[in-house]
Amino acid sequence: MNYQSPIAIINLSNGEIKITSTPDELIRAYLGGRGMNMAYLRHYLRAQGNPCNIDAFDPRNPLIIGAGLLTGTIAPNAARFNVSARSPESGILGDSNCGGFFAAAMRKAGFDRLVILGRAQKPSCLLLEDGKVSLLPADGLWGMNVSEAQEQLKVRHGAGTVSAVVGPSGEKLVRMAAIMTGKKNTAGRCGMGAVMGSKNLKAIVARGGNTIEVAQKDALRALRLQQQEELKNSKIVQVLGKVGTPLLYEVSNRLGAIRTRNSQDNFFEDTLNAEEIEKYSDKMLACTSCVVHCRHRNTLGGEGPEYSTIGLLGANIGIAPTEQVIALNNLVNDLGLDASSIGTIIAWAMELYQRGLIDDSMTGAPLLWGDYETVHALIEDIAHRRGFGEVLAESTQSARFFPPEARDYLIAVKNLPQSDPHDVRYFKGFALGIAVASRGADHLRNRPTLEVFKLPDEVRAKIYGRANDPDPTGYKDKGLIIAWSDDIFAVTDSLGICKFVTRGFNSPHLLGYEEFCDLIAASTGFEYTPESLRAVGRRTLDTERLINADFGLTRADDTLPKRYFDDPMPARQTKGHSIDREQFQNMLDEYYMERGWDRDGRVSAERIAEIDNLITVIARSDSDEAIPN
Amino acid sequence: MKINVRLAEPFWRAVGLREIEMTMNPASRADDLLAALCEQYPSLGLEFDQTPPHIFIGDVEVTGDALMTDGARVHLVWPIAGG
Repeated sequence: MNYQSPIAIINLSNGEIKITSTPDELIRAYLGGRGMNMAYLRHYLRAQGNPCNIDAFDPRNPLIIGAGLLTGTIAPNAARFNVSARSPESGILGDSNCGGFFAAAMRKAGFDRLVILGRAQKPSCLLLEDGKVSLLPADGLWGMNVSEAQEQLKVRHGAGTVSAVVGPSGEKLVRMAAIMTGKKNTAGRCGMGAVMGSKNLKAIVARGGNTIEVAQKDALRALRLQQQEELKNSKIVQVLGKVGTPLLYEVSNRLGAIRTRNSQDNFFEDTLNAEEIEKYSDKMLACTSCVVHCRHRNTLGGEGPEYSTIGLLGANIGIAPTEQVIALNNLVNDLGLDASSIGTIIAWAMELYQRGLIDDSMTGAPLLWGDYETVHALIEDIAHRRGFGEVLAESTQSARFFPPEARDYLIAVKNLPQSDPHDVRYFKGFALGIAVASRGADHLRNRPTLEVFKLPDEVRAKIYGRANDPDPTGYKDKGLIIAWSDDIFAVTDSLGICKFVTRGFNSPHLLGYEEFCDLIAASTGFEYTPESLRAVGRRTLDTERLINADFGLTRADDTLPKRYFDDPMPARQTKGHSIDREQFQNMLDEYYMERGWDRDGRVSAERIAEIDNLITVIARSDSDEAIPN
Repeated sequence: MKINVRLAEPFWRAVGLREIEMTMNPASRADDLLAALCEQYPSLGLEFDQTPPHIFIGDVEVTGDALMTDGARVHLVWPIAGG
């Protein structure tokens, strides 16, 4: 089989649509999904001069939507895609990973990747169908919430269509706006919804009627059956399928590692335990080709909440009643907001109010921990940029409206609010992970979850490649572990596979490089070894580092919120823990060494040349003759 | 002595109970408690075989050789910390 990876380059300013094929050498180097998006992002940002001069809302900022290499096939949990652009929230590399059904539909409509440039003159939609792209007016859709817009699009284009939409927050360029597929499946991180809104693009609708060709159908089916069986026998897969990610709340809470009231505290109420969430759940849902089924359908009309939302719209803002947290979850999803960012930003504002750094003259009303009604109204105001919501809609950039010391209380790295509710002062590898994550404070780039498993030394050595210190609260060998996690998660994101079936995320078993090699060969005919596949992960990390270097990032940006260094955790097992600044720098040194970067965290000149030489094929393919649309 | 055991997610589902009061000999250790639980609740024993729990006495995480005292509150927690 001659593997084809079609890509549509869409200029919304002039309506030009070019359909071409992804060069083979690029697929071998980056697979798809996140890795491939990074190659295209570097290319398109640099092709137009200095990337620093391209504001996130500049029409020249490319919005890249890329399915994983295996997405839409029958490979286990291969549902995912990445959305990438310069982030309006952090100002650096923006990248968001999402599950659901959209990416499979996009591939079945004939496209592995969309590069969206320019800005439509009026609110518009893209319809993908049978290898063609149509630019349509978004008449009547602009202003609609997510669920309403998605329902309307099904009426217009057919019940079998799947859409990726922005809510009012994306339209209003709220810097933490998400792109939503379904009620909850969210490309949430980095404000990709605001980039889409800045392009006057309300929705992308995929009508996927085609078949995704694979190289060895029977071999892929056999792999699916075998791996599915193994995954279903995994305890973590079984538990996630029954309880979902709310499982994690009680574990973190017992330890004293739940971000509470903007990390002033570290434990909260039991009302947010999984069994309480479960009382509002009537079904567990799945994504394309999923064997886990981890997503709750809640009885308040939405889906979720996940652990992150429970923590950040619950404990972090002091809201304990289960029903209220679920209602806020549904609200942020319907408005198209990133729950991680908004939960962090509201908590930050609450602490500023508590400390008297802001007052009613700015907020318009008291902003108190646990005040559900105020939070509900504030989230609406943020989405519509009204009142104090106009200020917080700027996410971390709202610091410019506050006194300078306000930044001391902001739980963010590289201007991206921390994604998950875990207070990382205890497990030092977790801290290093969010400090170096390429998109800012985020656990899904490299969270070394195996740290808590107390695995035997020989097992740890086998996983990470050499003997390493088993103490998760120590600083030693964390660079090794984070670099290993970086690479396998980058590969997973590039294949379109969910981390819940990936080795190293919640389990030392599940699918690893060997299994991925088999799946790639059966799906595409491309041969990889575990080593060459890990090299894709390394290349992706290096490319991301280069994108961020173009935006001026240096070693100094690989850091943590001030509180994580200066304030010891107040209670429970984690009491007294904070991050030692000198030891943190030692971890960074080790991490850079593991990554092959210099002491300042810079990629070598040889590696830059190698990557840029690879990426030149994008420019060449751009000038190729297009397939007629 | 009486020990109050709280089973965290998902262990409690194996027995349908969140809290169990166990009677133990004086000077029992945490490992003795786990053994007694496994004997009394074989389904919980299967869970522990698959996934040994992290043990907390009060707010402090301990190893299996930790001594317990009368009235101790023991939490048995799944070893996980993902996102």
